[in-house]
Amino acid sequence: MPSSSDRRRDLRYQADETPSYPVSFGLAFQYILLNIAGIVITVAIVVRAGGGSEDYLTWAAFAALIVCGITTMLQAKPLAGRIGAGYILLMGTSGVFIAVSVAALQLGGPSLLATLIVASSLFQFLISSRLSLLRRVITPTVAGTVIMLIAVTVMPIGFDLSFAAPEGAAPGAAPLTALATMAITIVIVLRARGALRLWGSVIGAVAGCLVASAYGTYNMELVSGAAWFGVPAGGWPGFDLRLGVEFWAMLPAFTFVTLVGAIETIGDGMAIQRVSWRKRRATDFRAVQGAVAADGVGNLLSGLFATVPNTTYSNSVSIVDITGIAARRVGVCIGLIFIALAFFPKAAAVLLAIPDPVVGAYIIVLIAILFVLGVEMVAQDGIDYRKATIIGVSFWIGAGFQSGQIPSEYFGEWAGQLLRNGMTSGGLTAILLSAFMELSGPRRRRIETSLNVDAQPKIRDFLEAFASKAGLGEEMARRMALAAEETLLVLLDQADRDEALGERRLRVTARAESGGVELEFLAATGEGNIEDRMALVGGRAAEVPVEHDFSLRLLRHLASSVRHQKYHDTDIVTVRVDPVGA
Amino acid sequence: MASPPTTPGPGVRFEPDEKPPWPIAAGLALQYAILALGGVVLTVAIVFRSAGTSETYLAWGAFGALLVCGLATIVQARRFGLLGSGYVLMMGTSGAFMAVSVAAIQQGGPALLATLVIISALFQFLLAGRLSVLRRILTPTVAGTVIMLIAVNVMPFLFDFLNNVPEGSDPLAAPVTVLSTLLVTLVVMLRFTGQARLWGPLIGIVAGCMAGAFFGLIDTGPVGGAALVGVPVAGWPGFGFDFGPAFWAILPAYTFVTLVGAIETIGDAVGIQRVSWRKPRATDYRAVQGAVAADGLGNLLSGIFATVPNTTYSSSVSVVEITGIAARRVGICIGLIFCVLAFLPKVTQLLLIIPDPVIGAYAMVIIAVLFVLGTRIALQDGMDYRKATIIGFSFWVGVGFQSGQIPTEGLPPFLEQMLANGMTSGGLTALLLTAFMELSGRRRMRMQTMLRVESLPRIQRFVEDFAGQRGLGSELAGRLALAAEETLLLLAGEAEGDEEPGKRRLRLTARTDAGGAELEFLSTTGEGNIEDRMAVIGGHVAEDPGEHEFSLRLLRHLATSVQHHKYADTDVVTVRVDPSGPEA
Repeated sequence: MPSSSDRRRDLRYQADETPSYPVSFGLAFQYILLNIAGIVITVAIVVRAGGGSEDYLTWAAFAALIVCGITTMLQAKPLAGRIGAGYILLMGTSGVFIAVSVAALQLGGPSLLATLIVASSLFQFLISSRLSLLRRVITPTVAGTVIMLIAVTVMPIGFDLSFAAPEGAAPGAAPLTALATMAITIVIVLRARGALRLWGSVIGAVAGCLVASAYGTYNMELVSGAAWFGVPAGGWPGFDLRLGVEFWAMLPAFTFVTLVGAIETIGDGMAIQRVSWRKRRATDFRAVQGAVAADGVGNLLSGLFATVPNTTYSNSVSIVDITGIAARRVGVCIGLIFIALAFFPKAAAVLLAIPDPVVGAYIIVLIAILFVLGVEMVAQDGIDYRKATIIGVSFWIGAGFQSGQIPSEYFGEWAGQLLRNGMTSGGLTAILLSAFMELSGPRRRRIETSLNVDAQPKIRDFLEAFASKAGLGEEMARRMALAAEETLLVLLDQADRDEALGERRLRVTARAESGGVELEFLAATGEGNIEDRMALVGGRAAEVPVEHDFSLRLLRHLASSVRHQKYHDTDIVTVRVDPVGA
Repeated sequence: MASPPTTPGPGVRFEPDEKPPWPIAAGLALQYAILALGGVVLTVAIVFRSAGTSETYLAWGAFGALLVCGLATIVQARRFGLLGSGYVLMMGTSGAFMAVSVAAIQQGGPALLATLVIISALFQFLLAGRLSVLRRILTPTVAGTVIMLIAVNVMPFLFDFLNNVPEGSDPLAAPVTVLSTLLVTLVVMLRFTGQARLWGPLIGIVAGCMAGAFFGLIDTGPVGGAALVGVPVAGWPGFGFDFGPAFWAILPAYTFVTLVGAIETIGDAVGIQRVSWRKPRATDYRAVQGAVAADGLGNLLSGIFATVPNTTYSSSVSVVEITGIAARRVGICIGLIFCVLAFLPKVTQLLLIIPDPVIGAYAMVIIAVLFVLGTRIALQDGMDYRKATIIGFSFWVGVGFQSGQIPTEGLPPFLEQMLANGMTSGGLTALLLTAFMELSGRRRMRMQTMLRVESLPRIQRFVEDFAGQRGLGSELAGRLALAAEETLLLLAGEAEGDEEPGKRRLRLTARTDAGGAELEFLSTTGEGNIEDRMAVIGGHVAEDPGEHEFSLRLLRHLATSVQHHKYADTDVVTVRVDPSGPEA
């Protein structure tokens, strides 16, 4: 991908820049406008389908808005640097939880639901803190495929909202409204610059609403019927701490759905980083960990308030991409508006009254862009035939289940229900295929040592033994040893800078893979990312040479790829050395 | 269908001109033929069964496809005048044509299929003469989107196949058969390298058939009933043309598939040249044209036989690379084997009794990989949010129409029929949006001249004009002019080593983007115009251009980035100049 490295040149505000408050609030309204319906309607679907009372529904919707507001702010401004991503990631009630939440409500009412959600949030904290262990399972290939599949699961909703005629309306009303919204939005996205680009989605929405009101489909009663100010009186159901049979029966399903939600959050956490900086950076996995942790806080709060859990809404990524504003401040504003809306039902009603076709048209455009971001993510390290097979087969299995063309009855009622969600079935396929590749490959060999200069001879001996076992040619063995030496030097240089950490452990793992060799260096955390520094070395020679510039350059020359994944507790550097001329 | 980089083979043992002994050639050809046989016959089976035709017409269709593929493969290898590439390029029934062919047969029978296929052949003959036209219509964005939509088009048929078992079979019959086919295919494709990987689909089919046989899904009756030698002439639907409304409704989709098929053929024709010689050679442009023309001939014959059209199989490139045998003689043998097999109905029937779930699972893997190949083409020039919008939106418009989620009821019947095909609606959306971008945006400016130092004044004038028109500041304009001068001197210096210095042509393109300006220098030798040569280069994604960076300090100082792509006989240098104070 020759020019993708400098693709975000036209970003107007990157994550750490601050636009003025009017701009931030204006943009925040766009996010809210697009998502509030989803947030409130998801709650309504769950509560109505689960047979909850109207009182409870009012409470649940109120609580969901407040929790979403709090967690969206957390995602933008991480708490203690660990909970929250540090990017604009709008949090909304989660679609993947619909099926299991309905089942929980039917089995044991709101209090059982609350207990289950609290339990599942603990699982999410666990995933967040041990994310580095999942690195071999949730690779960019898997995460990208899952993002592509989000489109498969969400698009039918978009189409449905856009084209299903509301009762009693003229037959052309819905399609024309949707068409007007889409056409205007896309023209603005493709052509507009400057401020127009920023307000594109609002202009599209207003145009859509105008068409809709010409057909009389804008719902004014909803607005006039709502109160100006209100806090729902009562409705909080408390907890069910008996942990009875129902609880244990539902727990596996909740855990699994939580995992699916976490994978989606991981994907969003990786995708938002791609669009939030002008210069491409290595994915910072600490931000991903933070996103998952904030998701966990969201679930915990949802449980305490007894409402439906929330998760990151993926269309945030697309909105950042098309408006070119990735500033954290916008995320904070979104959160504030959510909380305000919870207390002012009339304001919320104005947004909720936006006709379905307008919202649907938006979802189609935004999710279509997200789909391509997923494609970009799977392609980031190049696509060979193996990856192509995994991605293609997983995606289409997901699509087949989602559309019902692959019958899910064979898998029993419970599993069938889960598999019918394309993201679950396709994501599982991708994980299984990747795990198969991982497990069936040649065995890894590893060595543990401490991270200092003395480690060098040990590593050299280890690699020599590995090279002769794996039958590598002399030339390959030499280059591999050199690459390992350079990597060690770079890591040591980093370790020097943060002396506070004291003694650090290093684990080196080696594996022969389709002709080449993959070396993995795993060490306790330091500052700075080798991948970013490598990019710098490759990009502009005019840079002031840093001390270890030479090592980096040599490494770049020796290795066919260098990846540096940073987690809160670990640094993982993966170096791949291929035969010459491959 | 993808031709990803494989591990280096044993080196080229027989170049195209060399002649391995006949036994070796024939033995190897038999292997290749068996590899491709599944695709050739089963694709026809999917099309004809999905369209609900009789089994006798299917037998004829399979006969026709085998015979035509055989003839076309011989033409590709042997080269007759302008027809054929002169390399081992296996021709097989095209998966891309599946969905449109089903629609054609359903709506107008064999006559409509024949008409459409023959028209598409004429398109290919035209394209062979002028490849750059193709590039201009199908930018990578559009081509990639259309290839992705092929999967959208075809998958519903394949999903139907997965569950297609005779009534009264065991409820587990279909899922177990599908799973065993899928699992075995995937394990072989993911875990094995080299030649074993190529056999993955075939091994998967065998495994699936065994599972199918266990559930009694295989009916060997037709094999016994078929003649050992003969022509299934009973199924010939006769010859006819059909230019009714259905023809016009399907034509756009057919055109898209044909154009995309031509892009794949170009890619294969470039790829095969890369692996066929011991010493790397410049890409032979006439061989590429010949490959497309031979593809057209294959389609013409397919139309006459009223069967599904064919195209080059990319596995040819992998096979030649792995075995190191690129001799034309092998291609001729493969063709002959196909032709002989065509006249052995018992063999064809043996393939046709493969249970539908097995065929569906096998084709699903192939098409899924094609889908990813489409995404790769769409992404090949990098990505920004505008391109992402075009690709994503067009793709999903196609999906929406194909799945019926975007209603077409109110539309006139002709439009309804046309748009209901996802490839047409999605492809047209991509074309329209791309055209909108091109027309409404500020155009690039370009100039052509010869690559020598004397061209400098012209180039300076051009850069001045450009800077004036775009309102670039004088500082930026000055640096741009200096950068252009440096680059020209460098390129001209490199060209001095040529046999005939001063004979290279140079095309300079300038455009502004996000505040900065980008200059593209493209210089080439050899026949054909620059545009056509670029079409060939751009068409092959897997090609690994030797990229090296100028090390000249001055240029580094002036420009934000300098990229130099060196192709066999073409140099492309892209210089980007940003306003001063560029980001670190």
